[in-house]
Amino acid sequence: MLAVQILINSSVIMVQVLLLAAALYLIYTVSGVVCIHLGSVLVASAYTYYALVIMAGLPAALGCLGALFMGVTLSLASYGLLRPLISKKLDLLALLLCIAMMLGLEALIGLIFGASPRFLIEGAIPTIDIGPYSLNLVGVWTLIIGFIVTVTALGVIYGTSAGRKLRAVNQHEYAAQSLRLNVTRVQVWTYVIAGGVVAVMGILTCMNDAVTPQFGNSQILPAFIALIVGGVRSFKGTVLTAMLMILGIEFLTGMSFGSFSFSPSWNNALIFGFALIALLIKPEGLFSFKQRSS
Amino acid sequence: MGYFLTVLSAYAGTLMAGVGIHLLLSMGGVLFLAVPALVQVAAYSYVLTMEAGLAMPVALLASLVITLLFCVAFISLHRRLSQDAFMVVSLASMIGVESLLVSWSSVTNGALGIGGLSRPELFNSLESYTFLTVLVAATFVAFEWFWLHSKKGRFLRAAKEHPQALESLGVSVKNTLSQVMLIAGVAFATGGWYFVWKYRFLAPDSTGIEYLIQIVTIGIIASKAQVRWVLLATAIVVGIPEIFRFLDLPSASLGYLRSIFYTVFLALLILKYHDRISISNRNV
Repeated sequence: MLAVQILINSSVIMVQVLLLAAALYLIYTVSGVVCIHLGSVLVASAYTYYALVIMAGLPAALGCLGALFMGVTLSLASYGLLRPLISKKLDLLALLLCIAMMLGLEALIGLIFGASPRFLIEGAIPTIDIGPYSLNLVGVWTLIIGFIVTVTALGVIYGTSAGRKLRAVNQHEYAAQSLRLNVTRVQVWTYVIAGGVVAVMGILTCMNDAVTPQFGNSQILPAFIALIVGGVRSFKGTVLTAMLMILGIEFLTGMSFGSFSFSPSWNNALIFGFALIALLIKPEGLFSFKQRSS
Repeated sequence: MGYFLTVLSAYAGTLMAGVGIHLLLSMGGVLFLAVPALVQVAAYSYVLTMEAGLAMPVALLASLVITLLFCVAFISLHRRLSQDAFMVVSLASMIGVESLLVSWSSVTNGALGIGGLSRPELFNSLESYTFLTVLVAATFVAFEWFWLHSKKGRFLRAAKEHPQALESLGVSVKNTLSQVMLIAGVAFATGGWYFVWKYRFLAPDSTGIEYLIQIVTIGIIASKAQVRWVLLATAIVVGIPEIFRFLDLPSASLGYLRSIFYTVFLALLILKYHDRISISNRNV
């Protein structure tokens, strides 16, 4: 029974990581940049919801729209800043700029809202009980949205012409351009979609947890580890790695082994340990594939 | 005078890690983001071995060995991983080590940190402590000057500017960069001990992204193979944010303003000088 409850709880965390990893994957696919400041974009979206709904007293729907607008705007703004580096293929400097943006966004949020934790929902979150198992309403919404986004993303990437364009930009940008594919447009739309996904996850994740300016760091770590360990060019690999990694670690921290047990604060250390072992065994990623070259 | 000495010791302490990142990033072209992790490992291993009853020189030696073992792990990863994967893993190490220090509370005292740490008796006063940090930093700077003017220094620059040319001369690029990673590891370990003696308190979040940005900014400004650029870059990174102290701002905002300053400064540097940072100045 405990194992099933752990599985239910881990599924929610898994979906949160999965969707952040999906956003990272999409951006990496079209621009070759690991946008780790998406964690701070997530937090900025959550704080926007907090400012509109809790502080200004506006309806939740308006709060969601505001958060979505913030996520997309910040994502597009970061694309604007990164574009000169992306076009010159300076991926590592772009990653460095992302780290700077992460620190800047955190500091700006801290300056406006202060360092103390904020709650997006006042009072207890309603819980749904199925037999002996329970899950709160935010968790249910996270699972539903996560399922829809993941299935849609898999369908679009592997089964539609839009997905083929995305993969073409990923695998051979110049060949894609020679076929008159507008790479800039593909990149802009990808940043918009990624920003939107991150904003939605920002609201849902922060409804389950108290949000602080540095909250995004702990959220983005498992996502970019899933991306790198899964094989940066394989969405299926990213999805599978996120699932296996989070389920494994949640079981490790949820169960006790005799007198020994890991507390949930071990999560990030375990994720880093997992990444080290996986990358030492298979440096190119667990689910990577051979790429076409010209 | 006290303020001047405090800033001077902060300058010297940052310069130690600055020398390490100058060798690695500016000269070797390795974007190594595990600096906060290595500094934490050095600081904690020194404090914990001291608490275990070891004498200070032995504790320093043990701390150095442990830090270099971590460096060896990163060398192994650097040899196997692609550049961006290595960069991401080295960045993740910062969060991983912080999480380990918070979680392993029976040893590290968790998020509460370890307080009441003492300096060596000889360096208890601010003057003598500043003298020590300046002396150690000057030693690193002198070492780097000699290294860069030696055959090894030329190999290192070649490893960034034209690795194929270096390999064709029978010199291994990977070994050259591995050696430099170990030297930088010593610089970062010293930076860790500086932290312990400066604050006399150690917590898992003593170093973080802001510290990383500071050090990387030094590496980017000092992109030339001249030691004076490291001195200048460190002066800019440590000195300019001091202006905030003289403005009439609430103390709670100072840290955030400093972070925003570092962000804007690094972003401007990258966006304006990215060609100079990434591309070799010499045509081979």
